[in-house]
Amino acid sequence: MDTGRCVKNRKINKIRKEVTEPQEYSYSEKTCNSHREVGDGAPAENETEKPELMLTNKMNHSPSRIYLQLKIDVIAIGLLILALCTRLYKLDEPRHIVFDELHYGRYVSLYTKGVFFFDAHPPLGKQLLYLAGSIAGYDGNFTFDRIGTPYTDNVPVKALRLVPAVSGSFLVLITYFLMLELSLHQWTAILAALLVLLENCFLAQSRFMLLESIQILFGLCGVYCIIKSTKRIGLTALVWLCAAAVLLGCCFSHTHGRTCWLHSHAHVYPVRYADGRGSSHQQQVTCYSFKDVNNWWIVKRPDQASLAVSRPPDAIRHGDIVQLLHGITSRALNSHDVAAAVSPQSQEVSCYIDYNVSMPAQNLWRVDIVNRDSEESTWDSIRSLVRLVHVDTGSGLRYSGRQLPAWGFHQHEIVADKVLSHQDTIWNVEEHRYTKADDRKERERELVTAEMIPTAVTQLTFWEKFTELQYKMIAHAPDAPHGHMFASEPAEWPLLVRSIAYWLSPDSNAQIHLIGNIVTWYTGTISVVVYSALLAIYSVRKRRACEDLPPFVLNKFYETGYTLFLGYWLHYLPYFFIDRTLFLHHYLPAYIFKILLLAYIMDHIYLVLQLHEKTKHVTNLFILCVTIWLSYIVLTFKKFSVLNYGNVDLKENDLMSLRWKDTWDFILHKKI
Amino acid sequence: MTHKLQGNVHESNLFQSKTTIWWITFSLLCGATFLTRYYKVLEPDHVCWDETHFGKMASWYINRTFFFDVHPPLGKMLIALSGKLSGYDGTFPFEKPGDKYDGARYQGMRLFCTTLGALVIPLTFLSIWEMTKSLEATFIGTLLLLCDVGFMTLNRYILLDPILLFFMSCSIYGCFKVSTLTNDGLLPFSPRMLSWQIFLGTSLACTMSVKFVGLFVVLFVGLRTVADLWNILGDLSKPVKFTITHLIVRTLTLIVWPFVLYVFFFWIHLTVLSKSGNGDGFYSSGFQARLEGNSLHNASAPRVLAYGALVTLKNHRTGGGYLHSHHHLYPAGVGARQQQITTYTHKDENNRWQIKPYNRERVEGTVVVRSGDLVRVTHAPTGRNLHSHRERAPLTAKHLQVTGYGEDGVGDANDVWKIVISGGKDGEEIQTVRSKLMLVHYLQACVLTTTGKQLPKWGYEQQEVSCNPNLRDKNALWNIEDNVFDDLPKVSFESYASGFLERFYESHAVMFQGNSGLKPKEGEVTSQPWQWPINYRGQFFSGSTHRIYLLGNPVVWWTNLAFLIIFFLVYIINSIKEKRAEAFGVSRQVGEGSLLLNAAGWTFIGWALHYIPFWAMGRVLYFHHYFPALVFSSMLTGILTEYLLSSVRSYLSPELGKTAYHCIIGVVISTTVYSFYLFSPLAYGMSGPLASEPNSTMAGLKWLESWEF
Repeated sequence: MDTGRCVKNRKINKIRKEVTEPQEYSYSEKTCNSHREVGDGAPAENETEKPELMLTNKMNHSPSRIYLQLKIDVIAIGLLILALCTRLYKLDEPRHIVFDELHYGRYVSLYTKGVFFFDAHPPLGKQLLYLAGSIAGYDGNFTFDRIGTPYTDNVPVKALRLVPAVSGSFLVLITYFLMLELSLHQWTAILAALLVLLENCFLAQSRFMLLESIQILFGLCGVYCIIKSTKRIGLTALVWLCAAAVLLGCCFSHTHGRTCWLHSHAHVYPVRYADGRGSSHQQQVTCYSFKDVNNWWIVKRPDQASLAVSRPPDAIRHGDIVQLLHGITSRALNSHDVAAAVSPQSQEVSCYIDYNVSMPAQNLWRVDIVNRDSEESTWDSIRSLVRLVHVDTGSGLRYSGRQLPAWGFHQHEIVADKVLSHQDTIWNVEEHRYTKADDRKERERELVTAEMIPTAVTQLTFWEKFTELQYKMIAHAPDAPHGHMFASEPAEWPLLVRSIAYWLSPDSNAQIHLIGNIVTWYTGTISVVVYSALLAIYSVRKRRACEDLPPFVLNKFYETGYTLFLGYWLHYLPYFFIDRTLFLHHYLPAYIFKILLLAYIMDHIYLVLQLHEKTKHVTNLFILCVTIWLSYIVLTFKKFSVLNYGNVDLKENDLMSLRWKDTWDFILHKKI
Repeated sequence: MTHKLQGNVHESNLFQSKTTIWWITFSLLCGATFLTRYYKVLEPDHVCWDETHFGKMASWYINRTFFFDVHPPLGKMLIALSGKLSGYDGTFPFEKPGDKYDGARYQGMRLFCTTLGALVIPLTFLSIWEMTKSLEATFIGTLLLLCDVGFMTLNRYILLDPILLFFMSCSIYGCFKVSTLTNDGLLPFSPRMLSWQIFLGTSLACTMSVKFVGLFVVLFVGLRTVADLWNILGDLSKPVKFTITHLIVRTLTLIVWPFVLYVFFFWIHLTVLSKSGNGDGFYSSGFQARLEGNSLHNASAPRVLAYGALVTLKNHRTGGGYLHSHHHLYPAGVGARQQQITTYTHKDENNRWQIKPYNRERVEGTVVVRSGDLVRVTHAPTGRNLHSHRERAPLTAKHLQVTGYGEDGVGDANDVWKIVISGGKDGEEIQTVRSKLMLVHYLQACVLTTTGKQLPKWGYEQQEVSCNPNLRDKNALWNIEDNVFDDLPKVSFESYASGFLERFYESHAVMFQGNSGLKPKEGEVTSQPWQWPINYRGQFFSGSTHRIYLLGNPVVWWTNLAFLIIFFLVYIINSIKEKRAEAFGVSRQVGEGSLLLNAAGWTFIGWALHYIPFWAMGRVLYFHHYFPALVFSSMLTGILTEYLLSSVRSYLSPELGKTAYHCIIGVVISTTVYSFYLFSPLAYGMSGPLASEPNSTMAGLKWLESWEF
C-alpha cells in the first residue's frame, strides 16, 4: 500500500538533490520502510533538514565501520542568514528607550544589581536579557525612566537587544522546520519562512528588548517537538515530548501576582489631597512590593511596656488584642474614621503621631486567625493566615489594590475596610524574629543589620506558591490605564486597524511602529476564512459519503490544517474575555499560526490543482500568482521597514504615503 | 397527548396501562405543583425584593411614561398587562422593598407570575419524557425541580424570572419535540412539524425578549438543530434536497420568525411608552423628539446653524448630558482657577451657548456655520468663552482642562475651536440635531469631550469635561439640540425624530451599555459563579416579621452537583468503552441505555451553556442567575439516576434487581419530599428568631455558615 508514498518520497528527494549529498538515496529508501510502521504517510524530511552532525552506526555492516555524515541544509542556512541580516542590521539604533524596553530594561537593571523584585512575567525572558547584559559588562546603573530617554554609554544596547533579535531570527528557521515536520512540501515550508521573515511586526518585535519573540520561539519549538514525538514511537517519542514540555514551560507567560509587605516610612499623608479632601496628616502606611527594612513591625500586647520578647515567649492566640509598632519609627499602627487616600469609602490607616488635636490613638487590633484549628490557636509565622480587625471600628486591615500618587512614592494603598470577608484582608507573617533590645536606637540597628543578612527561605512549597500565583493572576488583573492612545480591541486585530507607536526620534520624524505587513496580514485573514469554509464543505461532503479528494490529502487537511487552525484560535479567542487594556502585540502568537495556516492553504490548493488532469495547467498560473503576491509582500516589507529601523527622517509626504489606512496614526513633530 | 409507541397487538394492554400510569403521574405532579405554588402566594402583602423595580416598570407601562431598563420589554409588558387586566391602576409607587400594598391590586400580577412559574414544572416533565420516554427518569427529574424551595421562591413574585423560565421551558420542550418528529421522519412542510417549529420559534423570541440570557437557550436550540440537520444529512437514502428543505424551513421558523416577533415586541414597547419620563436623558435628541411632554416634542428650530445662534450642545455618549457652565470656579489646586465647564443631564438655562466667528464679535446677516470653520463658543449667561490650555483636567490626568475664560466674549487665542462634522467634508453646513460635531482646539490640537466621571462636591457632582489629545475619542461627538436664531425659517422637529428602526437600534445600544455598566461597586460583596452550584449563599426577599430567603433546597442542589460530576465520569468511561469496541469492530450499543445517555449529554450541554458564560462576564452577578441552569441540572440528575439504576439492575438477578430498584427510588422520592417539607419555611415565610438561635423554628437547618436565615 505504501509504494506510492515511497515514490513520492523519492520525488521530493530528487527536488532536494541540489541541497543534499547524493548518497542520501539508500538512506531515504530505508526511512520510507520504517515509516510504514508508523503509517503517517509523511515524507521523510527529517534527515535532510538540520545542519547537524549525525553519527550513524549501520548495524548491517561491520560494527567497526563508523560513518560521520555532515549534512547541511543550505536553504535553512540561507533563511537564517537572511533573517539575521534583517534583524541585526544597525541593532543599536536608536540609542533610546523604545516602548516596553522601559519595563524590561528596568528589570534587567534590578537583576544586575541583585535587587529582589516582583513582576508580572515569569523570570526566564528577563534572565536571558540579564545574561546578555552581564556578559557585555552592564553595571545596572541606568534608570529606565521614560520612553525616548537616550541610553548612556554604559548600557550595552546591542548586547541586550541581541537576545530578542537572535530569537526572532531563529523564529524564521523554526517555522521552516515546523512546516517540514508537518509533512508539507518543501516549497511550502520556504514560503512560510519567507512570510515570517518579511513580516514587519516580527521584525519590530525582534529588534528591541521585548520578550514576545523569545516567547513565540519557545512556543513554536514546543509545538515542533510535540509533532516530532507523535510521529515516533518508544523512547524517542518520550524524549521529544519532554523537550516539548520544557520548551512550552519556557514560553509560559503573563502571570500577575503582586505580593507586598505592610510598610511605613517617615513621611506623612499630605494635609489635603488633590481632590480637596483632608487627611489626618499622620505617618503613611503602605504596601510595598520590595523587601525593605521599613517592612518590620513589632507585635506587642497593649498593657506591656517593654518591646523585648519575654522569657518564655508569650505566644499570641486567636482573638488577642495587640498593637503593632513600626520597627524603625516606633509608631503604632492606627486607624480612624478618616477617608483613605485613594479609596475614600474605606478608612485611612496610619502610624499614629500625636499632634495634640482631638484625635485620640485608636491603635488596638484584634488577631483573627482565619485558618485556625481551634479557638486557642496560636499565631504561627508563615502558616497562619490572619486578619487584623481594628477594635474601635471593627474594620479589617486591607490591601486595596490601588496605587498611591507621587506623595506616597507610588506604593500601594492600605485601608481599613468594613467588609471583612475580602481576600485582601488576609495577611501572614513571612519572617519573624524576637526583638532583644528595649532601646530604640539599638532596635533600629538590629533591624538594619538583620536585613542585610539573608534570612531563612520561607517555607511555602512550590505548589502553594504556584497556586497562589495562579490565583492572583486570575483574581487581580491590575487596573491598567484604560484608553491608552494605541490600545486596540481583539476584534480589530485581524484587519490591522491599529498600530502601536514605539518610538519617535526627538529631532526628526524618524519613528518606530509596530505594524504588520498588510499584504500578508490580509491574506492570512482570508486564509482563516477559506480554511473554515473548506472544513465545512469537506465535512458535509464526507457526511454524504462523497469522496472528492484522496484520503491522504484529506488526512493532511484535517490533521495539519487543524493543528494550525486550532493554534490560531487558542491564542486569539481568550483575549475576548480579558478585561484589560490590550495591544496589537498580544496578537502576535496567534498571528504566527495564521501565517503557517496561510502557507498550508497554499500547499493545499496546489495539491488539489495537481490532482486532476483538467486543472493541472492551472497550477502554473497559480504558481505565477503566488510569485507575484510574494514580490508584492517583499515590496511592502521594504516600504514599511523604515518604520522598523527608525533610521530615516520621514517627511510629511512620506508618512502620508505610508498611511494606507486612515485608522493608522503616525506622529509628526509640530512645525515651529 | 398520544405517543407513538411501536408495539404489537398483545402489548396494547400493557400500553394502555402504561398510558394510564403516565397520566396519573403527570396529574399528580401538576396537582402538587399548583398546590405548593399557590399556597400563601399573596403573603407577604408588601413589596418583596425586586418587585420594587418590576412593579414600578409595570406602572410606567400602564401610565405610558418612558423609562430606561437594561432588559428587553416583553416580561415587563406582560406583567403590566396582567396588572391592567386584574384592575391595577398604576398608581402604587413601589418605592422600596417592604412597602405595604395597602389596597393596591398587586394580586393579579403576582398570580400571573406564579402561574407561569408553576407551568415550568409540567413543561419540564414533558421535555424529559420527550427525550427519554422513561417515566422513572421523568418523574425523578421533575420531582427534584418541584421540591426545590429556591425555585419555588423565585417563581412566586412579580419578577422577570418566572416569565423567563416559562418561555425557556417552552423552548426546551419545543426543541425536543421537533427533534423527535424529525427522527420520526416527518416531512419539513407537514402541518404538525411546521406548527411545532413555529411554537419553538415563538418561545425563543419570547425568551429573548424577556432577558438577554435567553440567548443561551437560543444557542442550545441552535446546537440541537444543527445536530438534527446533521442526522438528516447522514441519511443517504434521502436526497440532499431534503436536508436543504429542512434547513430552509428551520431558517424561516427559527430565525426569521423569532426575529420578526422580537422586533414586534419592541414596536409595542416603543408605541406604548409615548410619554416623556425619567428615561429620556439616556437617549438622543432624535429619540426624545418622539416623546410627548419632552421639550423637543412638537418643537421647531432652524435647520442649519448660523453665527450668532443660541444653542445647546448634547454629548453623543449614551446617557451623555449637555455642555454646561456656571458661576463657579475650579477650586485651588485643580488647574487654573477659572470657570467650571461640565456636562449636565437636565435642561437648564446654563446649557446655552452662542457660536461666534473666531475673530469677530458678530457677523452681518445670516452666515451659516460650516464644517472646518474656526469658531468661538461663548457661554450665554456668563459671557465666558469655552477655553482650554496646558493644564491637566480635574480627574483625567492625560486630558487637558477645559474652562470658561474671558469677559463678555473677549478672551485669548486659546478660545478658538475648529468645528468639524464627524465623517463629513469640509464646508458642509452644520445641521441641528443631525450633524455629529467635533470641537477641536485649534492650538492644543485636542478634542472637547466628556469623560463621564463625576466631579466631586465642588463641581456639584456634574460630569467632567476635558480636552482629549487623542482625537479618536468616541465620546467627543456632540450635536446641536436647541437652536435659537430668528432670521432663519424654522422647521418642525418632527423631521429629526428617529424612525422606528433607528429607535430600535438606539434602544439596544443603550441597553448594552447599561448592561456592561452594571459593574460591581468598590467594596460591594457580589455573588460569584463558583458559589452557585454549591448553594453557598442566598438572597433575602423579604425581611422583618415575614422573612423569605431565596435559597436552594440543599438536598436537591448537592445531589445535582454530585450528578454533574458523575455524568462526567460516566461519559469518560463510556467514551473509552466505545473507542475500544470500535477498535474490535463491535458495533455500538443501541437501546434505552444509549438513549438515556444521549439525553443526559444534551442536558449537560444545556447546563454548561447556561452556567459557564457567567464566568466570563464582567457585570454584577446574582444568585438567581443560576436557576435556568438548575432546570437542566435537575433533568440531568433524573435521567442519570435512571441510567445508573438500570445499569446496576442489569447486574443483579431479576428479583433482587426489582426490589433494590424500587427501594432506591422510594428512598430518593421520600428524601426529596421530606427535605422540601423541612426547608419550605424559607419560601412560605419565617418569623421569630434566626436559625442560629436554639429556639428558632429553623434550628438545626443552618447547614452552612454562609446561609443568613
